[in-house]
Amino acid sequence: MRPPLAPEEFDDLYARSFHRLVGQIYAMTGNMADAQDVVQEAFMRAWDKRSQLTLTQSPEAWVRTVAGRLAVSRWRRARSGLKAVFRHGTPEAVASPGPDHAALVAALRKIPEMQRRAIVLHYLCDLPVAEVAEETGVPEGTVKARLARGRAALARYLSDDMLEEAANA
Amino acid sequence: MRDWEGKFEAALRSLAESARDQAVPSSGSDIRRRAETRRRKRAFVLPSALLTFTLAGGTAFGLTAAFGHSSPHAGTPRPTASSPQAIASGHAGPATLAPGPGSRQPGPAAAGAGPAGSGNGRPALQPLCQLTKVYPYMAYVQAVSLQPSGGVLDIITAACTPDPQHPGSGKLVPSGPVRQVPLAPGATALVTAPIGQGTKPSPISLTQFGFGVQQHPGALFGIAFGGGQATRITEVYIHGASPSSPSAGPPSLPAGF
Repeated sequence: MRPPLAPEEFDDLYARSFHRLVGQIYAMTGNMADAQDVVQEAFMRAWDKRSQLTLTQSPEAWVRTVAGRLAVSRWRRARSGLKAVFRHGTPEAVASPGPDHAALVAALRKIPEMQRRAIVLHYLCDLPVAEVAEETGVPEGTVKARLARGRAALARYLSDDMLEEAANA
Repeated sequence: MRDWEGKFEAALRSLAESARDQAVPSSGSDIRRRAETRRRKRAFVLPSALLTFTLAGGTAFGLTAAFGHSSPHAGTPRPTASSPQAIASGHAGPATLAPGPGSRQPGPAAAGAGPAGSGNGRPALQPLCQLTKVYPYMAYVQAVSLQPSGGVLDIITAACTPDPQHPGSGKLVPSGPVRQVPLAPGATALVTAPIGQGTKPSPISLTQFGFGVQQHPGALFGIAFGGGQATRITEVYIHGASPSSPSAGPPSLPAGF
């Protein structure tokens, strides 16, 4: 059994994966501020649980899973907290996607949360179906179904031109 | 569809790249420091919250036990007279306290309070002569005259007399004529309600002390002497004193008074 993650190892992990994870979570949430917050929070939890982290094969995957769950729970809280927005006004502005990516973000927001997560893990994080299934805790068949339905839904919202525009942004 | 998938993947990566550029990174050491700070806070706050809750609950329970079911009116405290020191002295047995001539009248809370042990059969908590063990010189302060060189206190000493109704205990009563004792220039004045706030003596300036005594003459004080002057005046909290006649037997003041 390895000793707990050393401070230098943690710093190195953070430096290597922070930006990548923020990008992945941003694709899942469409909210830059939330993405940064949950990734940082996930890293803080990773440091708290560094003794467990050494047991996992990929600390980055652990952080991504935690950040993804945090993002989901935040989104749910935000949804149930709409009354507060009506009472106190809208929260301070967060960074929005550029005009080239706006259509993509809007389309991603339209599909169910679990489909979006599967899409991002598979296409952006390059995880094969089996690993997506492992990370999301569902059978591979469910992942395949989510990917297929997510692709079909996105294809309805995103034309080839839109995709090319976003890809070249 | 393969073509669409390729374009979608490229668009998705471009989106993530744009987020990377916007992300404001902090360092790993900063994240570790924040995590440690939060952990320490949690480790401190949780026990503190539990302790506060326990103390608050215990205090509420104690107050309820002390005042709650014995009071004829809800929210009206039992007639009491105490000081932290008096409580600490661990006396047992009731006694009564009589205010001096011209002293403040018992407040509304004390109006219905009879002598110790009357009413519902439970002895009231009132100051005992054992206060004089805590404060060798107990006196009812009638007035304070402040001068640049110090000041003068007009006092009537509080005497401890036996209480025939409660053998073995005594009661404090005003005794003797008004006397004047010099007040040291840097004397400490500690007051409770009604001159100050609450039941715990808290310091005030001599000017405020003089003004407070003018508003509430006859309050009971424990007085400490040094070099022939009163150096420390501590008000003893009284709540619900029952009138009583003055009697003889004044305590002896330091030589010269």
